[in-house]
Amino acid sequence: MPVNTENKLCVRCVLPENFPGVRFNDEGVCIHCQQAPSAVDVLENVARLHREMVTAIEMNRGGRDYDCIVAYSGGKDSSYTLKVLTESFGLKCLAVTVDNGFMSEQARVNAKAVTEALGVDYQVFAPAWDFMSRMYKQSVDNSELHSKAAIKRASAVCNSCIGLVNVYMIRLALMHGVKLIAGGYIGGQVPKDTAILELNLDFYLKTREATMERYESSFGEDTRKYFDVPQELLQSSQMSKLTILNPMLALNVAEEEIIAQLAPLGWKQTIDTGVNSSNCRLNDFGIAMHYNTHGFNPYVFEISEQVRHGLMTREVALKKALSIPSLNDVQWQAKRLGVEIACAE
Amino acid sequence: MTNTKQNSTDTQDKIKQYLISNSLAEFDAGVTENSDLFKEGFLDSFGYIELVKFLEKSFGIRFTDEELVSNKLNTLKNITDMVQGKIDAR
Repeated sequence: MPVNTENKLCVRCVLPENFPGVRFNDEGVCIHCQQAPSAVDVLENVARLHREMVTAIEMNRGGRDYDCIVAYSGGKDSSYTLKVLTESFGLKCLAVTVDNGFMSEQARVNAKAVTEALGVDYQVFAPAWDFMSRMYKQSVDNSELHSKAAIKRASAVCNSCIGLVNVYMIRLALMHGVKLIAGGYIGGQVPKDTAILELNLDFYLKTREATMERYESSFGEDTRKYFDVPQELLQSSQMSKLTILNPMLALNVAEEEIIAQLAPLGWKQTIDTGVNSSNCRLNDFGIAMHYNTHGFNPYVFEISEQVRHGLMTREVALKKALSIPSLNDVQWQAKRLGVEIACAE
Repeated sequence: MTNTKQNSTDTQDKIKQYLISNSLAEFDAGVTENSDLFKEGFLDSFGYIELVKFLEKSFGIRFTDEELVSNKLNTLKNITDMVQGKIDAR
């Protein structure tokens, strides 16, 4: 449902004035657009990131069983990531989906079709529903769960889910002796310019200690099973670092081009996941709850980043950013999670 | 990146402004220069990676792996001290 926002939007991207930390100049341009690189600099930066990614891949391929673990949702961005790593880089990938209990049936079909077409090993991990439903409910109920700035990048349910997925990929990499992990994250979803990130595992785990304590007290039993990397696994793997690849940042490809390239693999658009997801039926619930609490679409920063990078027109961005499901629209997800939401009559 | 040496107050102001804008640290609402930014919920692994990138780019410095896992980049004061130490040592 498109919303009528009374908040002023940046005249170049679509960031609203109530987005945390944003400031506008007299012309109505937000601070992020004011500081954004020129179109030429964007292309140069993408080319540099691509060169660095090629180097990182060459240095870290050749794992025991696979070259790379790919966090694979079946959505368009991770499908494209898997295609590029397999076809263009010739990596031996293990594609892994974490089934959160809300995966679209079309996304399941897409994941199977794409992995079959690419000849990639494919694994689905479905964490216990009891834990997942508790995690999602707590994510909505506990406003202190994530860092304050996390509201800028995703909804509360998405932030929890992404954390769980990331840790599972790290565990698999250690178990299989694989040094590369890739995801289909785009600009705005991961720290800026981190197309390649060398992740010191000690560093990662230490920076997560405070978050882990909040998670554990909120999610309860089994939290560490899903959100922690056991010391025994770290020691037995004899690995202290992993290289995280976010190839979409080094490719700069527009959505239409991605969809066109995936069609021959059998990938089709989902119709039950809202305009900002191509795999998850919980996504709209997250957006509705986020908008209701914070007054802006949790996707608005990444949508704006796509506009700044010339990958999306402002017109399309406006449509996406202002397309907010109402609480009435997401009643079934709320009911399934046991979350009470106040809906308009 | 700046090549001009700056004093500790300038360094702290610049880092503080970054933490207010990007990590939404509420220094006017009870958060002090000695508050643990992780425990207070202003930094997580995502925010820490962005902070380190900002510090390295803005001040023209590099952190070692040992420094990054040392728990010394957890408060505004500790971050400022470590950054200023690197600036002064240049």
